[in-house]
Amino acid sequence: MIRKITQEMRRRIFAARDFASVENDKLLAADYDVCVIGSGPGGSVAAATLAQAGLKVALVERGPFLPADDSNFRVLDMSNRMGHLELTSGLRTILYQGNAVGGGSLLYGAVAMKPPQFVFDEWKELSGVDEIDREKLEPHYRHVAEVMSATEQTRELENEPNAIVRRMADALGKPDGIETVARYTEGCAGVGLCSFGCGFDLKGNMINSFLPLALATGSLTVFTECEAQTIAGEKRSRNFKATGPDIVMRDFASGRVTRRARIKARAYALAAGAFFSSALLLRNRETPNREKVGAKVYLQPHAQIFALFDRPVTKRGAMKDGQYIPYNGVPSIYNFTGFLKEHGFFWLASILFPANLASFISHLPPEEHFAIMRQFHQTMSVTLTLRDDPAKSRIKIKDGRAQLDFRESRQDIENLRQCFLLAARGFLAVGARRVFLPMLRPPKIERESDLKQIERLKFGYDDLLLYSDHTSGGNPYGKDAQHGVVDGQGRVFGSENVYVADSSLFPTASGINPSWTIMALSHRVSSQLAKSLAYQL
Amino acid sequence: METFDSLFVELDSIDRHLSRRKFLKIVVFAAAPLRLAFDGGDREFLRKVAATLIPPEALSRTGIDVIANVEHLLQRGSAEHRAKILRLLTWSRRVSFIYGGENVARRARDSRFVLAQKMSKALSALCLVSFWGDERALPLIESGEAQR
Repeated sequence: MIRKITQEMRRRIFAARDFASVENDKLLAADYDVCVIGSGPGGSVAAATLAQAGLKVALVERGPFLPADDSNFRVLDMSNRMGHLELTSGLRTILYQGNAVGGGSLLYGAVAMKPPQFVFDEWKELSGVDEIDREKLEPHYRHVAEVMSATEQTRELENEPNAIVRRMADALGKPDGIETVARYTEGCAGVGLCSFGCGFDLKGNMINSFLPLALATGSLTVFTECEAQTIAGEKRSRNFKATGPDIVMRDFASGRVTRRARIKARAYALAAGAFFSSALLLRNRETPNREKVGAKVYLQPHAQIFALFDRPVTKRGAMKDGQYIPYNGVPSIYNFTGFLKEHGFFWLASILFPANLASFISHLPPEEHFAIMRQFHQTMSVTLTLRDDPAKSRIKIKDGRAQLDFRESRQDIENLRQCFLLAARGFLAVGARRVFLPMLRPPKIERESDLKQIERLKFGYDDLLLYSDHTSGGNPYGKDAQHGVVDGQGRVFGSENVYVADSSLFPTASGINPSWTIMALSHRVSSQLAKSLAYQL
Repeated sequence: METFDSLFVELDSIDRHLSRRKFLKIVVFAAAPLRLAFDGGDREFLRKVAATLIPPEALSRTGIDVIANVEHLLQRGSAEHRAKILRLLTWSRRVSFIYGGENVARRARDSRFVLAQKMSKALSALCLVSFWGDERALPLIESGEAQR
């Protein structure tokens, strides 16, 4: 069910310009029960759970509030609108995050999946926390599914790119590897540009689900264009007690700083994503167990593999209200997970639009590039996701800025090689006449014999077109401070009042689209926090 | 072309003393002033780069102004993102002399320096997305009629 943020609710959402004068200062100076940092799937679920429990909540978001009617399907309007880019050390891999109220939910493909059992087994073994269990999390998954209208997709929705993904699985001898997913929508229009925020507002995201629920309580205040820089606090005799995030309010369009302040609350819930949540803790040298924070972050990187066919595989769209609407059908109803356990990857049919292909094949000479662009409807791509285990992946603070010091492992490279080989083989088997690999200088793959080139390729992340919007880890669960950064309740070891409620809780990469699990874990952490704060009152 | 070959020889000789990657980093990362808007030089540079990536007939037939589209893209994003793109442009202009001026996007993709390859990729993508992201480019695409 799509909920709306009403005009009345919008009065509780503040931007940097609202603090250019002192009239709203009382909001910054107020005492809150909980301050939640980040408004993506982790933060919004936490804010809603806490506000619905009657607690006074401040929600801090780095990006602006973009109402649903701000979204459309125009590439030129949307492609730079809601995201924030960071790069791993050496400019190697792009880290892509939501940068507006709603965070990553504005950009995601709305796929709801749970990690397979072997991932939960690994999490339990590594953390020693028994509650991080698929069965025990079930009530939280159910709550999220209900609010987000997670709906099982069916074979009737299969468009040609999805059919190709299914036929590739057959050709690779893994028909059982096709899993039909659930998506956060009751009625997708099949435009296939979910990453632009959905101009029809049919995709379930935070601003049409948990945030209206939270705002309806009247207990939530949202500070947008408000960047938390560190969690200030003091070491007491035994524990660390946080005194608030130090925030900077910066106008989205001009970059002008309007205010610096500290927001006071009884407890703090970090939900700024694996990268920023770890950075917030690391910037304060007093943070307990600091050497463990951000020590291992998983990128779970993605890349696209395109294929060119002899026949059209997508439909021409239509112009409506000055914008081109593709109408290609629901973009991904299947995840192909046939090699997830063995080689650590899965793929699904990608979101498709001409500018995406134009950028992907930009390595080609202009004449060839133009010729392939003209055949856009004969192309499709799969987006691969690697469940990675990096050799080194540590968040460091350099000159005040967070940086991910990263080195891929040999095993991850070999898994990617297998993925390229199998995807190319699958595409060729179902009729593709050329396959484009995600490399700065890819080999030309047109027939089975060309696959030998992939076997011989020497490459690292430097040579690949990878991006990560499933970044996780950094503040993992642990049974004690030796095994993790937070305890079974999501509280940072050695702290009195700092909690984590986002993907940084994951002990390893989730192996599938993580949003459902982020929301379920956030609901678990915030429900327990609400009970504990109510008890203290 | 000879000019660029000789430049590469120069670079290689420097490379004996410095690692290639470090040398290139020194060239591109030398302090660039923070800017939030294009200047005339940026526009001219981008216009010329775009003309090396997109056939002139396509540009004239569609009437697409790539530079106006790039500026629109940047206006829709955050000030921080705009600053990052402008920094990319500054660095690209700085090293473009090594790769034939406006041909930088095409030639740097064959560089042995990964950093130059990435810069080429980013610059090409900026121009190409600004062209193919414009609805006026769609008539150039052959009609599609998928089976389902």
